[in-house]
Amino acid sequence: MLDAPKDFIGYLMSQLITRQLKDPKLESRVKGWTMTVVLATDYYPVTLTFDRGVRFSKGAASDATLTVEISFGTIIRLVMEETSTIKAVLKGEIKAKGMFRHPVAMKRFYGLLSAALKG
Amino acid sequence: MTSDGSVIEQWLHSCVRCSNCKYVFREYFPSCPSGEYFGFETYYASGRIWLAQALYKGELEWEPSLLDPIFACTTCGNCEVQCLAPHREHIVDMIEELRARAVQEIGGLPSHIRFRENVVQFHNPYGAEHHNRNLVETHSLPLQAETVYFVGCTSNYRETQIRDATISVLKKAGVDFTVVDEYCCGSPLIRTGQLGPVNEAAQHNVDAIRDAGAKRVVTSCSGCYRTLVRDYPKLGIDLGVEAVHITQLLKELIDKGTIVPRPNEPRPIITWHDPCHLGRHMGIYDEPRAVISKLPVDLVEMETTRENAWCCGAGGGAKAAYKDWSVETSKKRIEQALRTGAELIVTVCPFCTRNLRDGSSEDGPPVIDLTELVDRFI
Amino acid sequence: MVSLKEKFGRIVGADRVSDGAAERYVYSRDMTENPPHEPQLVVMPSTAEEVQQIVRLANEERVPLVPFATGQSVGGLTIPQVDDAVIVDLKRMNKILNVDEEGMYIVVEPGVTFGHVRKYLDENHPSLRYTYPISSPFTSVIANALLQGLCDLSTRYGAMAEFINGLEAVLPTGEIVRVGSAILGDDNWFGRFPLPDLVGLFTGWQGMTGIVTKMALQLWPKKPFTRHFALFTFGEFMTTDLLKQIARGDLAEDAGALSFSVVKALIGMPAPIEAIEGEPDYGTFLTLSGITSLELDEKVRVLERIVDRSKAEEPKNLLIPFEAVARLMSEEAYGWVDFPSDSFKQLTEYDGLTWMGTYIHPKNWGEALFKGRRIVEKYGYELMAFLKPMKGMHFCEFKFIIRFPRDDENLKKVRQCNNELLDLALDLKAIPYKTPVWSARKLHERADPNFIELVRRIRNLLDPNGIMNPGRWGL
Repeated sequence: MLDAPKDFIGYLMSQLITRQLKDPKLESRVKGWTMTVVLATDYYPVTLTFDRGVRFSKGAASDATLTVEISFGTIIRLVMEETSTIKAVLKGEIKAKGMFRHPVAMKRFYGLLSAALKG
Repeated sequence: MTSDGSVIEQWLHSCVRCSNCKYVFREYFPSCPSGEYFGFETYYASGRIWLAQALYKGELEWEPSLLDPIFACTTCGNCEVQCLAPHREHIVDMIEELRARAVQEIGGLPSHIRFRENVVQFHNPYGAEHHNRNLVETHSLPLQAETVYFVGCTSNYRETQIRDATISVLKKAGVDFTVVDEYCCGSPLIRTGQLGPVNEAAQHNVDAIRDAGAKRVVTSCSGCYRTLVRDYPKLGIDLGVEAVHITQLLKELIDKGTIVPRPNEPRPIITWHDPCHLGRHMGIYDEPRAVISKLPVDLVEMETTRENAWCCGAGGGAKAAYKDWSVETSKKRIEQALRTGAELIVTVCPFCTRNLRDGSSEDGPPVIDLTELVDRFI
Repeated sequence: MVSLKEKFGRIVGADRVSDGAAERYVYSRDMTENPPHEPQLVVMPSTAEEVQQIVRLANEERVPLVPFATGQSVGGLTIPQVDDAVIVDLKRMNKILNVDEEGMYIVVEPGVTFGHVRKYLDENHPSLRYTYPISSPFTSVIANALLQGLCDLSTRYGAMAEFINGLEAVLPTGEIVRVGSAILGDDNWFGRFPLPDLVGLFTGWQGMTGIVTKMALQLWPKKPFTRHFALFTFGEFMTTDLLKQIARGDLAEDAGALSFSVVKALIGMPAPIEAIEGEPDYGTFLTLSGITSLELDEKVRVLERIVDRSKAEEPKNLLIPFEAVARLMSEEAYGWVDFPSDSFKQLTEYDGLTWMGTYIHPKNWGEALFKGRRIVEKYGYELMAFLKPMKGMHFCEFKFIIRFPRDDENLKKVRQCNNELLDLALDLKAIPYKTPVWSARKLHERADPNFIELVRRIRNLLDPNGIMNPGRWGL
């Protein structure tokens, strides 16, 4: 389902999301998603393309459904459960473009990200 | 494996000789019976891999002094468990290919050649009179049955108590089984690089099993089991039926309640030796333990168990060619067994049974097969 | 006439000596690009007395000897440099002879490995620890100390040779000698001073001055409170500046920095690993400890402040608690810092492994890394720099490790790459460590000739027949 990306963030995210997709129910749900999410970290952006699975590619897709700005430091704080995606959004540590136009995509992606980072 | 089927070529640029293969990872118990005894780098897996690569690349000429480092290995596969490099799952395959090349280039070891000749002439490596079919009469077995019990040469000609216990258990369980006119499965030949006669013997076995109308083969020998399940397909031989090891069948019979072990007091303390061909080679660790857990015995494990278990020293042609080292290796396992305080050492491989017994003292705990233990309690 | 093999066989037993083609081949080479050279025999003693007899026989027969402990050196250091050498494989001398809890030292034989010391201490002396390198767990403790290697206490205490309390050696002329406080007898291996410091006759000599048969090494009390961090940083100069501040503050007992490619290998990314633009350049594993939680917490606070200050220049520098590393990157992560040998598996991808490593003045550290990186990139190898602040920042270590398939093309390319790296290092007055012969020769060209002459004179004095590892270190 997942290609092995050559970059750090892409590889890390692919590992974390693969772990989540071991749950067959979630896997089947994710297979039905069609959206493109750019995870714009302070290191570099990574594009997650959801289309009968997930593909990772370094760089920002121009036609992203959602663009989520997040620093790697915030990712670490989410992992350590020092913050939550909701708190981080409210504090401006996570910024999303496209969330009002694609609220379903946003809900799906935040849910997946949140679960992936919590392990 | 590469297009010409060479696993050595596939891993020609792997192994820095880091020594991980020499010891149990993070435990630092020795893992390699050969290296531990002979000591030179050449007697560890990494040394053999370098030899295999050198011979393949032509950096080293074939000569008789290479035979000992190549053949003094039980192919127990403990190196594969400990190795962390990319080639780790292929070390035994590399060693077996190296042996096949050695046999081709400079001939094998005399004791190995002897048992090859025996297999060709008598269909067993011991040169014993081929009598397998007599078992049908002796035990009033049908000519055709759902299950074929593949006895194996060592159980049939040396450790006959294993054969008898297996037949007894199968009968008590009401299994519809028979034995066929089996030839040596080929394991001793494959392990020692003498592939020539294997396919013919294997095809004979396939035909005999088919003629018996069987749907399943059960082996009481871990070596036969590995060969039927793992080696035959690699040789292009289709067994045509499912092959199971007796431990798998025993578990199934106990789980279904077909055989019910009797209570017994006092419960003897036993320890369990994982045969390499069943454990590391085939990944069967839980079934024998599940069977033991239903018997009126108390199991105390040794300090190295399951995939880290110290080899009994008999495999890979070692028993035939390097008797002293083979028994020394077994003695180390016996020492581990004695430290558990066990009254019985139980295993499920005729080679292990024999060699562990050879490594025991007369007043030490007896070594028996799991089928014998089960037979006692049902 | 009795053959040499038989004569050695009479000392160690016939089955402990071999002139077989297999042994001659395998002992003729190692994982590096250094050219192979076959020995005539391999001999395996079990005791110091057997070593002594081997050395005496070698003097009588004028046979060169090459000591071999566990064969894990990266640098061709056990490859004979002359014809007809006899390898003395010491792996059977593998006893841990004593641990002195009060004096905090361990006495070992040359075949004892880091893995075994770790297990032995954990099981028998859990309050004490030794120090461990990023090498195979089955590296000889004595060999690494003699070769002045580094480990996971080097940031605080320096190269491993500094931990030697004393040793026993068979001299090239066959006498068994002791140096250090144990000259007054066993159970007294507490130190090297105040005496003429003759441990220096054996450390850094690559087996040219005798065969060490016993060594006492310092142990340390395990601190009850420990925390680990990963530090992601950018740029060679900024990274080394930050590491210097951390080391000078005496905050970390270990600070092992790795090119980010190594971090990526550790989390399981397959070879070959590319350095991707935008990723951090270095990942440093830091170990902080304290006698009390208060002491540890305060060290953590100071560390956080130092990293925060660095963000003025590079906002992406990031200090990551190891709990997050373990959750996010790999469950094996604690093994990387708990016993660095566990992470050595990343270096076993091919059949070849080499490095050009040095100790260097702190002022030249950043430049060495910056320029060295360009050289490695030019040759197209994975960026695998390892660096460490040493001895409270009195000096530094850097090396570029290359994992490679040992085919003809790569052997040639790796030699050229290492040559360029060494030239760069020497230009910056770095001292190469665990030097293969070609590297030592380059050092000789630039070093004070009187030093090289002194080395030569001492060697000739100790080894009049020139039997101990002739040709080694370019002598």
